[in-house]
Amino acid sequence: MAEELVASRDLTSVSAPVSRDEEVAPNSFARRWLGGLHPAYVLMLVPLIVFPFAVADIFPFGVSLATSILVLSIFTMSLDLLLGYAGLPSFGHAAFLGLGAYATAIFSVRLGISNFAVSLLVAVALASVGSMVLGLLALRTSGVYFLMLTLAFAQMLSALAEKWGPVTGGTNGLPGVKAPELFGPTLSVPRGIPYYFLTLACTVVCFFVMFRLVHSPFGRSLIGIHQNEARMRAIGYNTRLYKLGAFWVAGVFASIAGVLYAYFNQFISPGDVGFAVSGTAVLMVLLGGEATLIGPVLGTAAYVVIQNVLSSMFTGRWQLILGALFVVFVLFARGGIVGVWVRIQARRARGAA
Amino acid sequence: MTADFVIVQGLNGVAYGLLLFLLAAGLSLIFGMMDVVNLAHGSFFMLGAYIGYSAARATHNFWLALLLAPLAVGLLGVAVEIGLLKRLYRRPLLDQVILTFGLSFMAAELVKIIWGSSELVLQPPDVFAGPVDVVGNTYPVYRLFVITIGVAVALVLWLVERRTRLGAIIRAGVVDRQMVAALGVNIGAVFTGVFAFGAALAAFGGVVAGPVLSLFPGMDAVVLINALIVVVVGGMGTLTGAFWGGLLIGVAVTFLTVLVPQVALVLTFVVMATILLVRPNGLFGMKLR
Amino acid sequence: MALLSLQGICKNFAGLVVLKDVSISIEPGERRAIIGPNGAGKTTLFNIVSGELPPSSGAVKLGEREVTGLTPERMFRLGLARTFQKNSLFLDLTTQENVRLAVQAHQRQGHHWFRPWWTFDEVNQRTRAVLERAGLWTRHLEPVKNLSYGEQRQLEVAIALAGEPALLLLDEPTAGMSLAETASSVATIGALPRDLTLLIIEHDMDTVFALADQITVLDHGQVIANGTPDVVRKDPQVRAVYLGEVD
Repeated sequence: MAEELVASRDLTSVSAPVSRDEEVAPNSFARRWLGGLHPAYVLMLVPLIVFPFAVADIFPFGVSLATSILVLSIFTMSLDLLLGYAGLPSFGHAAFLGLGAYATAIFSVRLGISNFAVSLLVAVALASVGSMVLGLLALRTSGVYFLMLTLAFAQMLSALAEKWGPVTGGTNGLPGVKAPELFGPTLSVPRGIPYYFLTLACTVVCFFVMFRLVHSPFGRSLIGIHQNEARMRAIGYNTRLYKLGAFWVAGVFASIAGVLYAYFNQFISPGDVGFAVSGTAVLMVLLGGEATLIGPVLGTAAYVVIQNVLSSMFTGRWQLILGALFVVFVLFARGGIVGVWVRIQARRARGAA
Repeated sequence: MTADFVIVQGLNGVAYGLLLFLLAAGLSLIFGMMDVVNLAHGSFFMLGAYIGYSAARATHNFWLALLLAPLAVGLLGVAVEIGLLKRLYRRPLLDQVILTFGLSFMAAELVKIIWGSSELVLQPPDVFAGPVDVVGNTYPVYRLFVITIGVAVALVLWLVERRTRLGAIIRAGVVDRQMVAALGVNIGAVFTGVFAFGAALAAFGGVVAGPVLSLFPGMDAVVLINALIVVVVGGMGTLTGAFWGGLLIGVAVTFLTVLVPQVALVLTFVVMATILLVRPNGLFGMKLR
Repeated sequence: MALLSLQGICKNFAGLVVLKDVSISIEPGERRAIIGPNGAGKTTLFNIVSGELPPSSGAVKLGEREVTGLTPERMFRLGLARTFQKNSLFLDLTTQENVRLAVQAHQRQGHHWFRPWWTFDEVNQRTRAVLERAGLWTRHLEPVKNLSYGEQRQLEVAIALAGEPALLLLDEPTAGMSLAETASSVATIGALPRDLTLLIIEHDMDTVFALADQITVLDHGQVIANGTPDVVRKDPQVRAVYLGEVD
């Protein structure tokens, strides 16, 4: 029964991504054994695992770059849950990244506790509280008011981090975060390849959970709410509850990214919590393609790479070019990387038809 | 907390609030009329301040700078609206946000390239340069000038909004722009005009603010956040909201920053959140279309 | 006992009286049509019944139970479903997904967050059944925006039926349809189970006389006639309102 229910891709259509089924496996074998994920995605793991060993000598910075891309991908995927799927344009998502990162840093630097599990627990707890507070408040508004409330929330947390010196290290931030310990001080994960694999494992788990979430009844309901909230209410959904749920989930995943972020950089500062990071994250999601999970990953990778290339080529001027890229992107490539890919597929399919 | 303290900080708060009004007025109108969240509005403010600085240094005349900078930025606004924003009107809100966000990046970098990264100071005009006695305290004359000019601009805008045909068109456009277009008004030209005027007003605010705040490449972000809070609190698309919202936030931020610097911004957020709890469309806002 | 009763419903919008003392009583299994000239207040009445608008005064009752002012979600849970005059569909989603979301809500499966939707057999089987009954199964994977206008209106009804309501509100079900589409729509509505109570707003008189057991006529927010089609057809006030109009 399930075979006929999952849409076969209409390759001739170029509509903007609205929860694509591409990521879903095309046949029931894969659906049973891979939890529904398309085999291609599982295969993608192979290069990701081989990568660090392949570049270790020729391009050691590559491992570091890849790790930061993975960490930020968890963050941007969580933002896409709000932005692309639920249709909630949050411009303050860095607040949750910050909650996770600061929790980790404070525990490590001020309390000497660098246990990975503890960091995750504290981060998730803080993010739960924070997302409920913000959600209950911001969801009473919509559109621009919502955008600004979320933005202000992130700025507020950033300002808090700046002013609360004794705890957060103030404007200069908290350096000196130690390596995360897995089950005790004997099993700590140093920088470089070991940390890359810890991050990769976390990213894979997060991706899979979000994949299942997005294709679950709950996830589909979010998509419905994005499309036509009034109709969803008319057919019996308590839409406010669903949106709050989305807020909570997105906040929790962002805080997990924050934990990984703090351990990776071994440093956190108020600048990582505010509007600039939130806005950039939105761009990364759109750059890759909203309402997909691979989109934010691609967008994050593209952005990080471009930013690194630009800042080394044009030290000092790169923000100018970056800003210009935003403008060009919005005007000409709005569907993002996934959108461009869809258009190419459509043209090919129409050519063949 | 002495009476003197309240008076001095109160005046500071009003001055800052009126500066915020100059910014918020444009921002609010642009959103109310065109559904555009202009994240580059802080950049217009900043460019106004910097161009005013250079103009003042070149001509040794503050007043000339006060005239030239808004003119220049207004023209820039026209170019941006016609060249870039016009293409995005049918697109969702987010697209314009990203566009203006990108423009603000470019503006911040341009300022650094042209004027450098160190802090600059715009001198007030000699006639307002000194202190004056206000109820037993010495108070900079220039700040009183800021208050005066802020109120004057507010009055002029109020008159235009209430008493002229242009004002009627703008008010109608905020409520229902399709209807206004159907009535034969060239809505495209009105949009360009509103955007350019908002930019010029922001730039004007930038020059006026110059001697009070200092000029540095991050100033656009700081002032934009406060202006956004003002617009949210006051309500989108209403000048009255921008005015009273500006005063409220200006005074609140000033007092809080002096009394409890650690948590000033947090408390500002709390103030905004409380207001939105009671009135989700801002104090004077209407239900959005 | 009446399935739906409206008692003394009044609605004012800032001084403008839209509905005045409207009292209607509908028996289970009845098919009631509400007709009247444009601006008579029919859609406002619908919105009050379905929970989108609260009345200024008066009561709405489902059976014995007072439901005045309850939200649309609550009304749906209590067995009321409606279609919308301007199509209110999920345009970018497939036909199937439109119905599936309604079935999912009705079966209270919306909270599951880890199992993919294709594993919920009960929901999917019922979705298929509803689509087949509405004649839309062949188009089930099509994005709704690609459907013809008539098919979209069929879908509207299908979504409303997915919730197995006791009372169905149909807001101008044949508006904008061609003759053939109208005939098809009338046939579909006519074929609905007789234990489903229908409340229909309509302008097309042929449709009304084909489907309705009883007709209520509204004019300027008040009920001016109520009865079987034959009675209403001959009512002098109704004739004056309709035939007296220059149109």
